[in-house]
Amino acid sequence: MHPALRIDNFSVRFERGDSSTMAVREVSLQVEAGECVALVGESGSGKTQLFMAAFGLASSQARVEGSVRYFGEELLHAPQAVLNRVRGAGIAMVFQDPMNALTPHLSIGAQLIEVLAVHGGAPREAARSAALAMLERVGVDEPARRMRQYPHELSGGQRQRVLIAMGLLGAPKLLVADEPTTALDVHVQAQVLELLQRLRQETKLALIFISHDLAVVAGVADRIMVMYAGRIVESAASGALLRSPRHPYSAALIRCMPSMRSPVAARMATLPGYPPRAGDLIAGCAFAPRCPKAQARCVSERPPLIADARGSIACHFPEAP
Amino acid sequence: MESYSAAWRRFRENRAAVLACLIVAAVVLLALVGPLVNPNHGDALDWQAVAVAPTRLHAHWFGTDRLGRDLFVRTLEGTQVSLLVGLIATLMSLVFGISYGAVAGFAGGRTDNVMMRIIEIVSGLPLVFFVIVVGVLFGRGPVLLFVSIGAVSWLTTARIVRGQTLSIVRQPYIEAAIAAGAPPSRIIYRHVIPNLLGPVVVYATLSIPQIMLFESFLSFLGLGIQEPNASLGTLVSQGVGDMEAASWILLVPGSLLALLLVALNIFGDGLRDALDVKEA
Repeated sequence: MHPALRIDNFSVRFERGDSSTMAVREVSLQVEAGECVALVGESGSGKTQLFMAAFGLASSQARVEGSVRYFGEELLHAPQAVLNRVRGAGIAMVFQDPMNALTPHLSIGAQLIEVLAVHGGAPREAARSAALAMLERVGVDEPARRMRQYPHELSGGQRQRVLIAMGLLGAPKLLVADEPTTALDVHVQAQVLELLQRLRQETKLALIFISHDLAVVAGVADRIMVMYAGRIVESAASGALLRSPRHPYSAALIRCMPSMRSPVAARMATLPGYPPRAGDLIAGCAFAPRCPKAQARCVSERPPLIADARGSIACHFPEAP
Repeated sequence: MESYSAAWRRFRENRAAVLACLIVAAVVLLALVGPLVNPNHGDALDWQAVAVAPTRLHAHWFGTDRLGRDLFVRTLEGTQVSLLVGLIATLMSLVFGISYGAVAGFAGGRTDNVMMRIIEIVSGLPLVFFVIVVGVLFGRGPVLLFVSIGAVSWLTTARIVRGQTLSIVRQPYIEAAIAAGAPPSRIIYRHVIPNLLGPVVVYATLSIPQIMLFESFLSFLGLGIQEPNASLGTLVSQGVGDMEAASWILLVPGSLLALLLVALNIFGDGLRDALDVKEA
């Protein structure tokens, strides 16, 4: 049985004139059907570009290398027809920007029905009721009225839910949710997360959750991968990673999480410095300049990503588990 | 994007544009109905009344030209022809311009580059020269006029559409549509073209008077509509010959042409302001 998604040695480079920037560097990952994997990292770490490029959605300047297989089928450099068949029906994406991801001049209903129409099949009436049922399911109030409304008449949270409904309507086997709850209120956030969990159990949906918020991810993901400057620096089961991170960057991210137990007056922990820019050439560990434990070796020699029983880690001096 | 009801409200508040719209509607209605209602025939020569001035006392309300043809009917028939040329040429420019521009903008890269260079080469041709050559090759006539004006006027439409498409293609909702597995053709006609109609409609409205003026110019030079048919341009051209002896032969079609062009321009400007299109 093939995994739902298997990415090997995947790199994304943007070339503009004679300069080239690496957005994603030699990433390998695997997601099984029914599994929920979270990809965590600061903005600019390449987490969105990784999946955009993997499914052929990156801009034309992007150069991709490696392999992206969906249930064993190679998607990288696959013909347009294959991509169009897989996208929407097999792989769905929920984008991070709910304000602009809906076509402004089409009603919500028309856009939902289009997903089904594109992938051939359902007669109009059946598509309509399927769309209506899906809106109801993702918790949109008054779904019948919303179907007739246009994107500008909906609030951000409602649009986000419409987008999730759109993603789920094609009955995908893999859902990539890019910050799906960032625009939502906390209680709606919980509803959406619960919905995704339920779908995962009911339909063996493989779920990839892109987020910068460890608190959101902690509750839903089976496995967490931490990305820094285009590379995966640590991956582990989510409980283990949150309890005892091995990479200093993961540890720093967890320290920055506000905790219910910490005193209210305490200063929140922050991570000093900035991540490197995508164009920078890095000889050693990309995190070394911000790392409290960095030594001379970290700057000169890049730590390889080493897999072991607990997951994988790229650090010369990992914290003991 | 704002809803069209807000645009409609802004348009209604613009008194000049509403008035211009009414004038255009009235002229169109008059041009369509007038020749039917009036007992005179545009081609009939009335030897009893050659070059008579407009009065209400006889059958020729706007007078006659120097062949005794009724100027009221002839002017309105000419208006029909002029409007038809404007409409058909604009329609052609919309159909070709939108499909060409949208494809170029959506495809991007080398395809876009080649398609835009072709446009630059074609638009380098001098228009009058082009019309004369086409006329010499295929004979003069109204159909030819539609074709030759239409063949040139789509260039600007294609440029505008391509520019709009380039900015629309970068919108997240296009990415979302691609991610949903929609093929390029569907994305172009369902997600790209409807979103760029605003500026294109404005440009088209403003191009109708331009094309009419150009048609009049060609007809004035004798390159356009040929006798016994008439457009406003040919009528003005004939009127100029008798300007000193019988000024109405020039003034009747000339003032109608001017009125129509001014009204169409004000209407187009009003539409642009209402739809809030930047620069047209």
